[in-house]
Amino acid sequence: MAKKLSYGDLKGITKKDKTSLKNKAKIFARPYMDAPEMPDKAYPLWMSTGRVLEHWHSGTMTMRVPELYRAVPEALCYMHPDDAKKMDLTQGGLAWIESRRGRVKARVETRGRNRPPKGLVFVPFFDEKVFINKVCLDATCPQSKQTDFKKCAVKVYKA
Amino acid sequence: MEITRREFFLKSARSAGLLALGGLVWSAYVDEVTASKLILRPPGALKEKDFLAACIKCGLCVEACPYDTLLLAKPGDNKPLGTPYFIPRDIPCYMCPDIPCVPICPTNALDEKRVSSNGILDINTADMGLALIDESACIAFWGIQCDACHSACPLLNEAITLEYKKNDRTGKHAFIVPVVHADVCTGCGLCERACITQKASIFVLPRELVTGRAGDHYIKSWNKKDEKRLKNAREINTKTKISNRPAIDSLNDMKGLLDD
Repeated sequence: MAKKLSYGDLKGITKKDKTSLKNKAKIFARPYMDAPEMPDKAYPLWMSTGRVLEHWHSGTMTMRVPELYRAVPEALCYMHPDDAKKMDLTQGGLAWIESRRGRVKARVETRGRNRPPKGLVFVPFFDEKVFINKVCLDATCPQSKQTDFKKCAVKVYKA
Repeated sequence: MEITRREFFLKSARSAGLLALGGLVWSAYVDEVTASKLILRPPGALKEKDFLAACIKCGLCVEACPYDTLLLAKPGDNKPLGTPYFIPRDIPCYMCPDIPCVPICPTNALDEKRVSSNGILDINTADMGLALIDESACIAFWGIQCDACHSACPLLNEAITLEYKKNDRTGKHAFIVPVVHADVCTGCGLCERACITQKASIFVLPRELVTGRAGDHYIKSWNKKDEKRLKNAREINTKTKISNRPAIDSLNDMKGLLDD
């Protein structure tokens, strides 16, 4: 796309003369909107979900591969060691991860490969025994209808 | 007391039988005691000889382990009877920060001092063994990408790092191979457990068995820490036949040295 375009800001075009954007990245500044749910006093941590290298999606196939199952047999709650300390959680100990919608139990992991920053916990969703969907937020982007499973507010406490 | 002829034969047969049985049990016991070189002990265990002397085989450490990692040697395991050990391919040591198996030991056969730094329990200082890699069976050394051991390591990027090398076979790919760092590795065996090959290509063995020692002859002059070893270096006297006599004598008279 090397078409010449007019300059402008969010309100409209400010410079009528069209300029070529050849060899330039095209970035659109869109309005900011707060996440539908953000950490507060009652639910002080961000929770994100996703995959681990070994397991594809909900693990229906990969959890049946002996090598992969042995490498990562269960979903862990990855968190920063300082957060774990604050919440009186121990490495390898069981914890509840609770949001306004539900809670799941998982083991806490503070070392090794996934080291989230302070204030964020990560629980992968491949494990049917750690049904993190119960915790996730069922909101969508008002414009694109993209789901918002990747972030919500939780509290984590000893099980 | 009178012994009849019948009683005499019965008694001697019985004692001979007992003796033979005792001998069998004893030889089995000796077999098990001497076959302990490859055994992996819980964290904080004393040196094998001291450990065997101190361990009273009470099993408290085994009970304390939340992951059922530790086992007590049964007859037939070919290990010193009743002593704790673990098989990392089955259940590795998960390196609990509070190390429940160690403080519970009543005889200090598992010594808190050996798993503490600055008086605080620190499982990262444990030394249960050392992980070794069989480079001929590890598929990462074939050029197939796998870092299962690396991502399983609780001391990721410290005990196991990934090294990038050029794959000369294809000319355009990389080998991404795991490298174990012996000074950091605790021998927990999480890597052995995670290894994807049929029989683990990375495995833990007792450190003493698999490490060499450069000795005082060789010092890394470029390494300040290694230079400190010079202080403890012992005097080395090389004794050969020629050094039995004063230097001048041996130079002037080759007697005895050129006999053939």
